[in-house]
Amino acid sequence: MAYLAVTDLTFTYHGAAAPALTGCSLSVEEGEFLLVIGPSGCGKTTLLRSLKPALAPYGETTGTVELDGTPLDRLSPRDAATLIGFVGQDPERQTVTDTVFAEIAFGLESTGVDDPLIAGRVAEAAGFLGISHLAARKIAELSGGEKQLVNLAAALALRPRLLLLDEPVARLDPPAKLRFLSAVRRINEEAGVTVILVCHDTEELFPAVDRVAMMENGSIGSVLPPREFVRRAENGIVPFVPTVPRIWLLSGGAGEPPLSVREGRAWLKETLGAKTPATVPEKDDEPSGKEELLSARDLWFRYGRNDPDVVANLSCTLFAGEILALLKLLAGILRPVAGTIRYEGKKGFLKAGRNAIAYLPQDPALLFASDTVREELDEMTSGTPDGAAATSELVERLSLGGLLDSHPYDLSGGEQTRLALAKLLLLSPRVLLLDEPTAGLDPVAKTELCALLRELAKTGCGIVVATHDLTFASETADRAAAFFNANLTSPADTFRFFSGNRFYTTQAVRLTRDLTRVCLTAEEAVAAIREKEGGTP
Amino acid sequence: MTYADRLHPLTVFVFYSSILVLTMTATHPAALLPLFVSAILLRGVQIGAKKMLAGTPVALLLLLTVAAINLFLVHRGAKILFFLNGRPVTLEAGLAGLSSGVMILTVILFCACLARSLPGDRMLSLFARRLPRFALLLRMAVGFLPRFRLRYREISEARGALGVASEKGTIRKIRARLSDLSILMTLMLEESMDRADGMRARGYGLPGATRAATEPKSRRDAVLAVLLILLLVPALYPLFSGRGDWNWYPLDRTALVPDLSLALFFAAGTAIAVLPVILEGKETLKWHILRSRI
Amino acid sequence: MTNYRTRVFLLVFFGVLALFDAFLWLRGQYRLAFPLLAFLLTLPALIAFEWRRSGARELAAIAVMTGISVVGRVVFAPLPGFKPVSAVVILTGLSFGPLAGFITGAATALLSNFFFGQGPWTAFQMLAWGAVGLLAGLFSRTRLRRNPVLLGLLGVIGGVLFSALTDLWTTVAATGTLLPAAYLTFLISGLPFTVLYAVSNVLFLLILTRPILRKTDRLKRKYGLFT
Repeated sequence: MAYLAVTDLTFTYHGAAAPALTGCSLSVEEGEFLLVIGPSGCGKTTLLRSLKPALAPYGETTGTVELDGTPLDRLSPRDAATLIGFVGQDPERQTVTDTVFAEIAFGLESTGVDDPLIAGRVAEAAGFLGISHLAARKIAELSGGEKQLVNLAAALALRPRLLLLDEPVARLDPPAKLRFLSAVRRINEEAGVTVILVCHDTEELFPAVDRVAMMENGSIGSVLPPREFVRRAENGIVPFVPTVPRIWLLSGGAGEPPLSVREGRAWLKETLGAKTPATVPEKDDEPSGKEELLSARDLWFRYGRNDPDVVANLSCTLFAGEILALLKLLAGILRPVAGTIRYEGKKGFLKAGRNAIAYLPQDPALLFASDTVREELDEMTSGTPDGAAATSELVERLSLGGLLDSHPYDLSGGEQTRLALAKLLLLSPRVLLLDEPTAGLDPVAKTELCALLRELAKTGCGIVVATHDLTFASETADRAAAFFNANLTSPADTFRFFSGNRFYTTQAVRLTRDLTRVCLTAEEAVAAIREKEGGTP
Repeated sequence: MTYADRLHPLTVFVFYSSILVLTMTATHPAALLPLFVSAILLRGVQIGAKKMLAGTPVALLLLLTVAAINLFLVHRGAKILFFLNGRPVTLEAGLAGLSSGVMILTVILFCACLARSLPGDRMLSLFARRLPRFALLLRMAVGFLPRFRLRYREISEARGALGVASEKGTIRKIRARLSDLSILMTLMLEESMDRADGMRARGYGLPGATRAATEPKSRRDAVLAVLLILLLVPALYPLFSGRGDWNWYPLDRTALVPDLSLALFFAAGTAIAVLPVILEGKETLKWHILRSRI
Repeated sequence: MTNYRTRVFLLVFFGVLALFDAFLWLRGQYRLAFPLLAFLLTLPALIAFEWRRSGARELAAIAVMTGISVVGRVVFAPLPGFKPVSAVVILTGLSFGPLAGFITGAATALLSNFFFGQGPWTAFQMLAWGAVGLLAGLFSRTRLRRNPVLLGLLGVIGGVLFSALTDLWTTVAATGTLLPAAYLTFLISGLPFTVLYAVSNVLFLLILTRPILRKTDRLKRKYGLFT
């Protein structure tokens, strides 16, 4: 008997025409670590919420969910609260109280744990996750990664036997991501808690999980151990396979699919034989003959006189028609404390607005003031003669057609990004600045965004992207630079940047270094492997 | 570290509340003046003489304003100083005004002392036991404040970069600010629904919820509570018996003769107010000595 | 939600304070009697809030409105009189009903005074803003709530009530009694501020009401709030 048994679960949101989940069946053994992947909007979140009575969405349900043999609706509310832990996507949106201790104690108080025991339980959860030192801190002072660990501790303090995690690392930077995922692994391995994790960042997870479930259009497809999953991956699923096994898959690899970089290198060495010395082709870091669009010299910035420097002595240049992987100072939102910014060769402070610079904040919802997508777009074109034509063209290009009457907040993350981009593009900007545009996007949406940006760059628009997503940067950008210690390393050609780095680089580079010619992306790697196998130099 | 930090918030709160009740009902100068002096001393111990001196002009201004208000608004009393617009301005009104001013200053000083001894979060923890829902509401709102300010900044930056807010005209600018505020409100309400899910996921609303006592009661609390009750009975006697009442209108000579039988009761009230001065003073001294030894 | 012992405690607490207040009143101790009365008038709403069985979402929504109005009061502090507090409290009342309006107003006064200084005046401010929210909340289920005349009226009442109650404290504190002449003088001398409160309230309300009500209505529909 499985620990969690979902049988033929079908769910339709109240007032919706089509069901969000159709005939989902799933059985999870006690102590198992299950990874659920799939495009956004495929029902992953709905499924996860259906497994937790307090969060069950409002609508019509058929089918059954049993936890340890008990149907969920017969579980007492207290058991439902304690046995099943839940951590959601955005660390900022889950905390309830003002201090870390109160936050972790919240669930214990609600479920009626006796007073003398509470402190001990909080200490246990915080200690296990290595955040005891935060106990007295104010939540507002914590970083996103720390907040998410506090949320995990708050769930853990209730001693759950099943942990549901809904894209918990989508908004974290890479180190925080690793820290959170390793904490989840420890909870699973050392405490034997059953874990169901929905996540787009599968790179580090495939080697760790027991099984992978693919969801599409509201139903659960194959649920298989990772290696089996890779071996049987078909066209639609391939983008969701992590880089290393994807390269193996696409280059027609034989034997066991590799899951980690280490396994991948072993496989490559075996397949390709001798090492190839690394040859990095010479390329100019500054594209010649291109128009200088935006340049900054010796910029300094801090929010208040006694605050630390946010930017210190920074200089950089953006050329027309290029994508620079890396900022608010340039957008003219904030005035630098010292230094100059030149825009199209002219010195001076930039005015935001039409035909100039547009800025996409990390949370696109900050830009939304209206009640429908249509009104959002109209806000940008009011007073311009051919606004309607421009709008309908953009709606077409960004496939927002079906969403015009939806509320901006009801859109998915990818759709919100597209809507915000549409608003900005209606200003026909010459320079586009994007802050973490890929947070929370699934692989397909990322590829679409990449294509869109490349297309924009072709029209002569200069684009600056600040991102933690190295794979996205390597696929999208022309040049890249790292922001470190309030300054920028000098921008290098993307290829040189990533091939030169050993650790801070993409999975494909890590995999292929010294074994074939250096490849930034999975596609290049596959081509390189095929070439070498074919014997052509 | 203050002495009050080592006490249970309830002890501190009840102590200060008693002092405030005594102050606000003290009409007799012999009851009020010692309280006033204790308030000055306690605040002095808390913030130091330098800051006290810096605040003196404002305090004096307040004192004189209240006295003047009383002098010109109240026309009762026998000792007429002069007539203004055909109405008498009396010595009694002036003196009563001074007394009011002293009382208000004392209240303000003790309230400031209380805020120092019992900072916001400890004060809020007082509600947690009997008004848990309201207390949680306050904690949540407090937790939101830094986030709201940050989000407001982000919103106005992003909207500013959109060029929507940079239109000219004051009304348009106000409208843009208010539209930022409205976006903030909408975003945060939307977020709060997720937060509520987080609460329900952790069992909020189940019957039989408990409270974590982050602050245990100690022997100190017990000793102080007993002391307070012992002192409060005689200290409140003048209020309940009516014997402590002091009437400024009219002021006659017999009233100025001190009523020695009340001295003991006023002394009890004074003792309640002096106790924190001694405890906090000792604490300040101790840290001073500890530091000078380094 | 609250257990039996807490209920008994709150009732006894309220009763004892009420008796004490009546006693102070009879003895002419108005300086303490008035703030205590203001507190006693606030307490029933707090108790009602405690006893009403309503969910986490309602609580979270009220906490957001409270947070917004506290931030509003602090951010606008340099401009005397020009504060969005009453407007936000009125909007809360209009959106979520009388009790939510009262609680938001009272909680705002209590919390923001941690920045501006606590004192007996806190009780009057809690009552004043709470009452405005309560009043606005009475119209939350009527069509009138988008009516500009009603909004203007609520804004003005909000300004006047706040002045009237804070001046009440000033009068009692300064004179020890409640002389009508003295109270009137205070009201008149505070008139410019009262007008400023009222005008800014009306201005904020006229601009904010339509967009905010549309948004809170959507929220209520989508999440089944305050039904």
